[in-house]
Amino acid sequence: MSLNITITPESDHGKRISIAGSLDSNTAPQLQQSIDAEINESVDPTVIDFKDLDFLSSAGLRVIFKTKKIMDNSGGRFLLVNLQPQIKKVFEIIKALDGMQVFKDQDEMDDYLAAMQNKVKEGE
Amino acid sequence: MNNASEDNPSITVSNNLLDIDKLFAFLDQWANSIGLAKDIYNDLKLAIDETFVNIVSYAFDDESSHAITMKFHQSEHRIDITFIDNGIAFDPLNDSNKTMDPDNLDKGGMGIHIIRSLTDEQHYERIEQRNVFTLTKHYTR
Repeated sequence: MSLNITITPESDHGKRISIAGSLDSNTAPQLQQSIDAEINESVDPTVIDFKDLDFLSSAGLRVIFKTKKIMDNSGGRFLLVNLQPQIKKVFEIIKALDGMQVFKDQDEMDDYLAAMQNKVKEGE
Repeated sequence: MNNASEDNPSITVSNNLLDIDKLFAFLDQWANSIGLAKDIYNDLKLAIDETFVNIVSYAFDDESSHAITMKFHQSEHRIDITFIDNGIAFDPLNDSNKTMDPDNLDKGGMGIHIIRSLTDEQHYERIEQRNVFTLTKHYTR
């Protein structure tokens, strides 16, 4: 099985990493390489888009949590969007959804980002 | 070595992570032949992946190629998936190197937790210099 990775800019200084196919022990190194090249402390937010991801194993989860750690350390936002039921279930099994920002779809994430933006404006 | 038509279909692959694709193809074929529900299929697929990766990563202490056999057995309310290899004694259930720390999930240790969550029983035995590890999923048709 294979993994397709697409990286696109997000508003502010963000990046979206869209992953499609299978994120497992064979493909996790590919994602790690992309993350190493693209994600650093100046990126905010980092969005992982799971829309076309069919399969996720613990090897893939490790890469996701390594990326979360980069964002936690820099104070950047780490957002997960479009989790299919079988992918969400894997996060639930390892009890990792608490403390993570997970959005069921793009609209829900856009609402959140807009609300954050308004808060920043109010504070100005 | 693919005997999907038998009562106890089995497949033998080598201890190469790329061979997971062969196990998945075998699972697909078997799941289709018995009309396995999608949610059970998804659970078994992930449990198979995690088990295979563990065996390949920890059950062999040399560089040579080893065979790993996966067998299915289905009865009325349960599916048993057995993995057999001739590696060093390795019980995935008692792998002390691998514990899951919720604050350090980037360090791993999630595989066994996932296997335990997705299957109802797990059983390890060392039989005649072989590791025999069986996962059981209860189900109703």
